[in-house]
This record gives sequence, C-alpha cells and structure tokens, in this order.
Amino acid sequence: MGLIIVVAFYGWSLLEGVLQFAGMVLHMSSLGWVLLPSDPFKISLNQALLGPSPAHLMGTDDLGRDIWSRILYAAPVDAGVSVLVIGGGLLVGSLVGLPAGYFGGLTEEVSMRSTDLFLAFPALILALVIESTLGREAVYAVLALVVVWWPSYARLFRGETLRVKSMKFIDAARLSDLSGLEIIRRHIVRSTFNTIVSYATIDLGSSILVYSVLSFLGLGIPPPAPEWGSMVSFGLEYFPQSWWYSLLPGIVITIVVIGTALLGDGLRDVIAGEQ
Amino acid sequence: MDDVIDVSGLSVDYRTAGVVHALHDVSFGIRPGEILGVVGESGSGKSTLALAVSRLLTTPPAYYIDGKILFEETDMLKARASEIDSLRGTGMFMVFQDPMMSLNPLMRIRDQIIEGIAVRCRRSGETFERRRAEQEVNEHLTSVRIGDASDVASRYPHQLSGGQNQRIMLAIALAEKPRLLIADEPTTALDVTSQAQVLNVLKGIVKESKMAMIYITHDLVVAGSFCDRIAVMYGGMIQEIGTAEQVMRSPKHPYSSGLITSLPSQRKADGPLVGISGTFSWDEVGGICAFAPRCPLVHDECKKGVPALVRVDTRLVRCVNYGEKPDG
Amino acid sequence: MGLVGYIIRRALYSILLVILSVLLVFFLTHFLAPDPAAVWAGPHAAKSVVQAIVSEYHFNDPLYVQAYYFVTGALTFNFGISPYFKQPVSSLIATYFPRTLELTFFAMVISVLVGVFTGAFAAAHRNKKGDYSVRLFYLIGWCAPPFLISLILQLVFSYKLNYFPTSLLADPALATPRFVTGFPLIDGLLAGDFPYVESHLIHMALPVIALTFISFGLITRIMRSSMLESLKADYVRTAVMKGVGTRRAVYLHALKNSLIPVITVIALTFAYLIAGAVVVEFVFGYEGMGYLITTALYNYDYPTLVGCTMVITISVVSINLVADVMYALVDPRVRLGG
Repeated sequence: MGLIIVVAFYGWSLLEGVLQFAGMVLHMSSLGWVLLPSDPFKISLNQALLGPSPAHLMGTDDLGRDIWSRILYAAPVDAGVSVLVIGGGLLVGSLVGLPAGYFGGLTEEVSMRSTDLFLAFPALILALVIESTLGREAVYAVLALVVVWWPSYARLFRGETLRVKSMKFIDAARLSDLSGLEIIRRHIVRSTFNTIVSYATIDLGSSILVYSVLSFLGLGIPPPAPEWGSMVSFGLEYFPQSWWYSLLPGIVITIVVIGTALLGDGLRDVIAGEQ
Repeated sequence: MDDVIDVSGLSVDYRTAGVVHALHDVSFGIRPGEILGVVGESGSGKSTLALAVSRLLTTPPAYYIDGKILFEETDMLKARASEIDSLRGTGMFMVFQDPMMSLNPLMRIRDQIIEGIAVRCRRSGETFERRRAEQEVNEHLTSVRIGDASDVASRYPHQLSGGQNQRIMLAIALAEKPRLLIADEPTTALDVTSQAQVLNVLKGIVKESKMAMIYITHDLVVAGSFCDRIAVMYGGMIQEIGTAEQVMRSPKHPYSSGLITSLPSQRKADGPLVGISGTFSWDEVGGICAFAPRCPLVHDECKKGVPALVRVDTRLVRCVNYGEKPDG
Repeated sequence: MGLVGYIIRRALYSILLVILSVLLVFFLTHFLAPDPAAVWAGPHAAKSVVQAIVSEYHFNDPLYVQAYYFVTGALTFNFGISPYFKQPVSSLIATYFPRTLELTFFAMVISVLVGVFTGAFAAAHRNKKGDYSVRLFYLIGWCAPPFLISLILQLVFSYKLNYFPTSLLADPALATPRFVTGFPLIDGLLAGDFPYVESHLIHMALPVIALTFISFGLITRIMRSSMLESLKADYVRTAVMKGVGTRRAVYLHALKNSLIPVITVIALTFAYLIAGAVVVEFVFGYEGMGYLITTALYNYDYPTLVGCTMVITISVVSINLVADVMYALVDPRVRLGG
C-alpha cells in the first residue's frame, strides 16, 4: 500500500520536475504545466475561492488559481527536498559514523558526543535558527535540515559498524590483508544498507513533514511559486469559510508521509524476515 | 495407590520449517512420594516432556499429536484453561532450566516467594498474613541451603548467582507444596556439596509430603542415587524405564548400557574412557529406531520401524533385540 | 558506582552538554552570518543602532572574547534586547514560556496515559483488528503535520460545533491574575480567580488535544513492542506456572517491566512536543513560546529567536537528565549494579 503512494509521489515528482527543469532551461515555462489540469499560475479573480468541483478538484485559492494543479506542480519541491536532505544526512552521517564504529577510541567518543549535542535540539528549532541566520531560502532550509538529520544516521552507521565488526567474516577479511578502509567499504557498507533503507524511507516522510512546517512559517520558496506548506499558511486568512485552501494541501502532505511510513515499515518487516 | 500423574502414548511435534517429532509414544506413571528420573543427553526431549506435561508449550510451534495426560482426575489435554490454571503452582510446579531469566528482575526475592505463598493460601483456605509469610520465606530459603536468608530475601535476582536463583525457584516450590514437582536440571549450577544438600532436602520433602517428582538430568550418577525409577530418553522417546537399581546395574537397552559404561566410575583405574560413538541429530529420527545410527548392536530389523516398548522382567525396553518385530 | 555517583555523572554531562550547545548556537549565529551585528540588530535598524550593537555585544572583539560573553550571557539568562518588542528577551521568555510548559505538561501526561494504554492494548491484540486500528490511529497522528491537526480540530469543534473558543489564553474580558509564577493556571488558582482558571482550561483544551494527538504514537509504539517482549519473557511463564493467574501475570509482571523503556521515550516526546507547540500555538492563537518564536521569526527578531532556542534546549537537556535518573531509580539492575 505504502509502495503505491510513494511510487506515485516520487514518480510524478520526477516527471514533473524534469518537465519544469526542461522548461526553465528552454525558456518555455509552460512545459511545466503541460500535464496539469490547469495553469497553476493563472490568476482569474472572478474564480476566486471556489469550493471543490469537477472543474477544480480541490477548489481555487484567493487568486482564482486551481489548487489541485498547484499541489501537483509543487510536488517536486517536497520530493526533491526530502531526497536531498536524507541523502545529505546519510552522507555526512556515514562519514562520521562509519569511522567512529570501526576505529573506536577517541574518534568514536568525539563523534558520539557531537551527535548527542546536535540531538539535544528539537529538529524544528535548530532548523529555524540556522535558516534565520543564513537566509530564508529553500536552499538554506535544505542545509538546515541536513544539519538536523545527520546525527541519527551517524549513530545508525556506528551501531551497524559495531555489530558487523563483531561478526566473524570481518576477522577473516582482516586476515586476508585488506586495509581498514577496504573492509569498511566492502563488508560494512553492504551489510548496513539493509538497516538503513527502512529508516531512510520513513525519514523521507519525516523530512517532508518538517519542511512543510518550515514552508508554513515562510521559510521555504517564496510566492508565487506554490509549495504545500506555504499554501496552507496562505489559506489561513480564509479559514474556515474556504477551508479547502488550507486543509487539502495538508491532507496531501499527510497521505504522502503515511505512504513513506507504511513503505518503511513494510521494508523493515521484509528485511527482518530475510535475516 | 493411584498415580499422581499418568501419561500414555504422548506424542508432540514441533512444526517450524520442517517437522520434528519432539516426543513420540511417551508413557509413564508416578505414584505419590515417588521420584522418576528422566535421563538423556541434550536434545533427547527431556525438557520438552516437562513442558508438555505441564501444558506450558506454545502452540505454534508445538502440537499435541497423540496421547493422554491424566493429572489426578484431570485430563490435561481436554481440560479448559481455567481448570488447568487452578492446577498450576499447588498441583503441578515446574523448576525451569535457566534460572537467571526465570525470576522477575524488578521484584525482590521475598516478594516473589510470597507470591507463591499467597497462591497456596488462596487455594487451601489458609489465611494469608504478611508477617508470617515473611518468616516462612526465610524458612524456605534456609531449607534450600541459602545462607543469610533475610538478606538474600530483600535482594533482586540479578544480584545473586545462577545457583542461588535456581535454589530460590526450589524455595518457591517448597512454599507452594505441589503434588507434582517437575525439576529440569535443578542442581547443575551447584557445586557437589550444595547439590547433595539440596537433594537431601528435596528427598525429605518428597517422602514426607508424598509429593510426586520428575527429576530431569543428564547426570546419570545423581539419578541413580536420588531417584526411585529412571526413564532413559533418546530421540524424543523413552528407550528404557525401570527402577533405578535395575537400570543402573543391568541396563538392557544398548543406549542405557552405553551411558552406564561411559561413567568414569565404571572404568578401571587407568583404562580409557569409553563413550558412545557419534552424535545425536534430529534428522535421523523418524520411522526407525532412533538410536540405530549409533548403536553397536544395530541390525536391519532396527531400520524397519520404531520399536515398541516391551516388557522385559519388570521393566520396559524399546529395542528390537528384546521384543517382537517392530511395527513397520 | 552507586546511584549517587550515576546521578552526579549524568548531571555533569548535562551541564557540559548545555554549555556545548550554547557554544554551538554561538558558532551558528556568529559564523554563518556575514554580518552578525546587522542580523542581530534587525533589518530595520539604523546604522547607529547597528554600531551600538557592535560595541555592546563585542562583535569586534576576538572570537573567544565574544564566545565568553555569549556563553556567560546565556547561562545567566541574559539574551539581549529584542529589537521588535523593545524588551529584554529574558523577560519575554519568562512571560511566554510557562504558558507553553503548561500545554506540554498536560499533553505529555495524557500522551503517556493514552500511549501506555493503547500500546498494551495493541500488544494484547497483536496482528488482529484491535492492533491495526491502534496503529492506524497513531500513524495519522504521527504523519499529519501539526497545522493540519490543529486546523481540523478548530474547524470541527470551534467553528461548527462551537464548543471551544478559538484563540488566546482565556476570555479576553477577564483580567489576568497577578503575576506570581507566570503559569496562568497556578497564578489563577493562587488568586482564587476561578472564572479565569476555568476559562483558561477551556482555552487550553484544543491545543492540548492537538499536541497529544501528534505525539502519543511515540509512546504507543514503544509500549507495544516492550509489551510483546515482556509477554515472551521467562519470568512471565514462571508467574503463570506458579498459579498466579494469567491476568496478574500480564498486568503485574509483564506490564510493569514494559514501562521501563517508555521512560526513555518521554524525553524525546517532550522535545517533539515543544517543536509541535510552535505550530499549534500559532494556529490557535495561544500566546505562548510558539507565538513568541513565530512572531520573532516574522519580524526578524533575531535575539529573541536565539534566546528561545537556548531556553528550549536547556529544558530538553534537563528533561533528558530527569528521565535518565528516573530510569536508574526504577530499574534495580541499574540502581544497584551487579
């Protein structure tokens, strides 16, 4: 079940994202909404704040723009952010966690204490501070979130490394004269992959959640570009009469995150079954 | 005197990836005040037997295939859960093999023994009184040769050794005064002196209160001196069952005699230690005599089917060499 | 080592963590921004104000001097003056933070109760309908953004059904009781002002429900897996064998032992609740820390933001410490050692 949602979301985002990118490169911005029911940027004030109908599946916003089109158009943003954040988190986390687990001693102590440090901050708060300092743009949001996310992966990588280190075949590899980094690369990475995969999937959803809150607070992509979180906050003015403006994007976010959670759980069950 | 417990033809399968016939055609009866020793190597099915008889097996993966377990008047396999629950503790009590995990790590020893006393009082109509119960706790701890009883009583399981935990389980048994006590390797963690002391205590209580007891062990020597009767198990089946003296002095089954001869006391002062060749594997059990792969007296008849238990003198032996042809 | 030694060790480590986190915030705020003074002064500040800020906060001094002032400032709760509110940040926090703490306190208590109950329930009905419905329920709570939940609650209860008022701490017509502790509930009770207390409780209800809904899943999850572990444990089998009855074996032996891992999650829940409170308070118009943070954010009030971050972090670290100590107290294996 989760698989369907996730595949739909990321698949669509990829497609749409490619179209948008191509459109940007080729200066044919209409390429971006060729697949959408309506032009997400077209303003028609006489169509403002209409409720959901067959013409506008999720209604229109205060400028008469079709909300469902805007939601579809904005999908690549959240998809891209989640991938970047988790990818970055994994990268930094592995750089810190793998050596920590393998070499132990001071490396491990320093690494683990620093993860403690970063984990002492609630995710949102840390991201807020970082973004306020750097600048309120989506780029910095991604950076801030990577800073928030890497510690848990560092811990994961270290834990996995420790677990694998105690297994017999590492000793065998060492006997056959492979250097430390070689061993890390070949054996440990492959074996940690399984555990990481299910966590990362669930985290994709969590990062979308946090990012949507950041965007809600105005720390994402500025208007008129649509973005799920910011759409909710714009809709607040017209709440509760035009409830669809704020609620529907929120529900879409929820569905995507649930999709990742289900998929991640399912993956974990599958992996546990294999081991 | 009627048997406290009467097991006939009990068979239990474990179904996981494949099927393992953990118990097959197990039959025995125990009278009040009688101690039956169940002897065998690891994997012989001794512990499974204990769990099966007290209905502590989890289904899945264990399944009762055949047979009957009659405890006093109750058919253990047909009774309702509530009936069986009311038998637990004061009717049937089991001391498990692994002592460290058998006690609740968050409760003091005293409270865990008092829990047993409370069960007994509830069932027998005695009034439960906290102060008297605490004294009783100390008495039981002393009976199982735990020194400094009141200090130990206020401790937690992880602060004590495995041997002490094991004896605490026995102390709880003393508190609940069961009619049938099943003890799975209760003294393996103990040194020889403590073992002897604890066994003495047990024997005294068994004889005095006419408790029936199943004593499971791999230590044949202890079984020989402590038990009244001995059942030798191999491959999930009872291979020989008779009085302790009979089995120890003149074992009939090849496996039993193999066990006896391999006892260090049996060999000459500087002769070699004799063992039983080969090792046990569940893959070899099923459809043939379980001991056939390792038996020095094996012949073709042994592979034709599982031998039946036949009467030889006053005991039962499961071996082709003694009985009629096995049923194919 | 002993219990006292353990507590002291953990406390020292927590203090170290607090200091390090202050340093980290310092690093983030002073290194990452090209012109920290300008950021600090706020976007609308005149050049002269910026200059004043530079000298006041030692922005021109070498780094370690700056760090020194920053850290000592933070530890004495001196976070500077808010350019937007024109007040010391610490007094702002003293006003607004207790209100949020009230929300998080109630939300945590209810979350724990709900989480423990639903977790045990799910474990008992493992892989059956009861289990699945519990998991679905907390999945929604976990996955829905906090603003969505708050909005839906507002929509249903406030607007459509008109049960609960939609904003602020209490009926604005009521006067605020005398400021004693800063906790509206306590101050109201101390002043004997029951209409205020009642109104305040009503106004707290929806935000607390929203917060509980997003966070109870954490506890349910761990309670469920903990219960499943305990139910399999040998000592539960022993209890059943002793004849205590399945019900006692489960509720006393298994349940009590299952609660221990829950303690470790409590600190995590607190951190999650604080973050959620930012959004929930904003949507409900509840004037607590979340309101302070979002206002500071919108108005580029940097000192306030930093001050709030520090206070929140210190609280999270403290709750962590409390949870660790509680864990050591409750589990005799940790408390008494081998």
